[in-house]
Amino acid sequence: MLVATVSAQNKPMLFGLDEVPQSLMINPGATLMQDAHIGVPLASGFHLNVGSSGVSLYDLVGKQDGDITQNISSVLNSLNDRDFFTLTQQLELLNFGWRSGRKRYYSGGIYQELDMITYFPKDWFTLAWNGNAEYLDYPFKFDHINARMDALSVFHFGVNQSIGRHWTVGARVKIYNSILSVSSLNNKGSFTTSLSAGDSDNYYAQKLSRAEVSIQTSGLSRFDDGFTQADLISSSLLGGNLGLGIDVGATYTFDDQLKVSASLQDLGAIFHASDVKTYQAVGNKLIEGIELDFPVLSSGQSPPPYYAIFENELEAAVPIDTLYSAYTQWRPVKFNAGISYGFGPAAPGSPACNCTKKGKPFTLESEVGFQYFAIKRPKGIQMAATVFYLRRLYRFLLIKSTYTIDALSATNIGLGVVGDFGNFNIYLAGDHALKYGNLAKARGLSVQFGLNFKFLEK
Amino acid sequence: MTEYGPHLYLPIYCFMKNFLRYILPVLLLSLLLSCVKDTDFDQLQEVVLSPNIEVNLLFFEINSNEFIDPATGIARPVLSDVTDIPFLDDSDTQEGIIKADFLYEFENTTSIDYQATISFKRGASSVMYALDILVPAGSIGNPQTHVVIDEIDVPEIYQITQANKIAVSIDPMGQLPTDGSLKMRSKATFYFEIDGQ
Repeated sequence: MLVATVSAQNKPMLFGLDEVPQSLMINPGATLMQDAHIGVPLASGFHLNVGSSGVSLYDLVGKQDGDITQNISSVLNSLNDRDFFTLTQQLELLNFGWRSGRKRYYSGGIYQELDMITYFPKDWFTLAWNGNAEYLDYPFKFDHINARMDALSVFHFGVNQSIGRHWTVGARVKIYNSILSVSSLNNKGSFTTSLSAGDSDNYYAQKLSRAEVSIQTSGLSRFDDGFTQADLISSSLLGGNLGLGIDVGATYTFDDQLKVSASLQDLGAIFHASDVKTYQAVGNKLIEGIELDFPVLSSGQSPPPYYAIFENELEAAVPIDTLYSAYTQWRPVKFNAGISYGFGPAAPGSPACNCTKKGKPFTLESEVGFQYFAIKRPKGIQMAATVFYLRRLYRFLLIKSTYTIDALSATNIGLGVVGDFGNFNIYLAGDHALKYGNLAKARGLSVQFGLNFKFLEK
Repeated sequence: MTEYGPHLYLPIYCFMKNFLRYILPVLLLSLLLSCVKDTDFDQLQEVVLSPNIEVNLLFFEINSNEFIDPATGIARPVLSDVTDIPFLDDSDTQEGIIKADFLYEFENTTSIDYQATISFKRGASSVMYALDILVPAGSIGNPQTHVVIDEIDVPEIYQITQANKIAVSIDPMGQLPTDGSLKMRSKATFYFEIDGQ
């Protein structure tokens, strides 16, 4: 299994952070601190995460000694086909929730998401950078081409229910509206150049072996004649390819100090049926070059069109087809789990005990804990582990700091701040904080912020 | 006005005032100070890709009986053939190739020598570059292998990359053979230098 440090969509700041209504988006079974909330439209939740598992901007274009070509070459040679680049961005258009009865909380909203992952196409980079002369007998593999991009809007509605003294469970139904989806996954086969050993009539045997390469697209024709803002708005609301998914989660509160929680997000799929195009090339071909026949030609006769025949044979052996058949694509499912332990005196502004059923719940001043995150990506599961320390400094301010375990860098420290000014709630969080001095040296960057109103029954 | 009204606006007002006065300047300043430093994107223009590409080229086998025209029974003095190669005179290729090595490997199991001529042509008649090869005689029991490597550098490479056809002619030297064949295999190594400008 791959332990990846930069896990797009990991939001260690928000998970378990009951002071922020958006913690419900990560765990629909979160324990809650408010009786109603409404986000500031378009500003209640923004999330941006860019990451690269093996290389930073500085590695590539930093002011360094030596030849730039050599520098880039050695950096990229150190990457392998499981290294990846990601970009995830989410923007909430609307988020709201309200308590119904003492134990149930409904929430809903709309958000937009752009999610991209591209694995490093190592073999094809090598072929482009070095050529095949030094790579005789080496199969350049098509599975190194692996990328996925989804732009979608999500309409969601969830319910959160406390059961007894200990349990809080929740589920959220999501309708996905895919605006654009482009992916090239599950490619197979290889291209190899070897010295001919009887298998080719020419000097080399250049083989396309069991090649299967495809690009699936949905929603692409929207962009044919330019894409206007009006198009964006209309496609963000329904009108794209639809999908269905759920989030589930639960929290078990042992006592005032200890609680454990876990959630699964985006268990679901998008059914791409309209405006679907798949480009696919499948086949085997031994490429021998051009065979001359030296035919007897009478005057005025032309020799055979060898090159056109060569091309036709290649196209016949490995035809490039355009398919219009529907396909289903699973959403990248995410798993979060955490354990937290509160200690110290009652938090500023907290009631002295957990004995009233209304108003602000009882909280302790400090919390420490451990969180685990995993996401299913095309080439396997990417994971991250986080330890955190949370401190409620004042009635209106808490900070949470995280340290995310990272196989590539030991310095991924995140910081988050939550402010409660009356009913107005603001959060701002980022990780790789030690790299903010020079983002060029960071392999990842994640920021989140949001503005909400929270209401408590008095 | 809801019951939340009055105490809703005061804290927002205070927050916004403080936000504008203190937090925003600090955020902007830190963004300006931080962000991306010590990088030089102009360097990318100096990146030079230098892939060396190996490709199969032409191949053939001429049996001894092919030197006679089957329709007339008359000997063919020279066998010639030509094929398009539309990839060399492509403008990207022209700019990128700095050198090319061509390897021609003949296997002669006939009893006579041959004069082989490989011509890189532009159109039907303009010969941009030509190479004459004398292929020595062999026999079925003792095939004669003859390898010629033709390394083309600047400035000849500019002639080669003007060509869009390769023509091959095979001129038998002496009495036509009665058995055996003449085979040729060939490949090219193209040395590219592609810069970022």
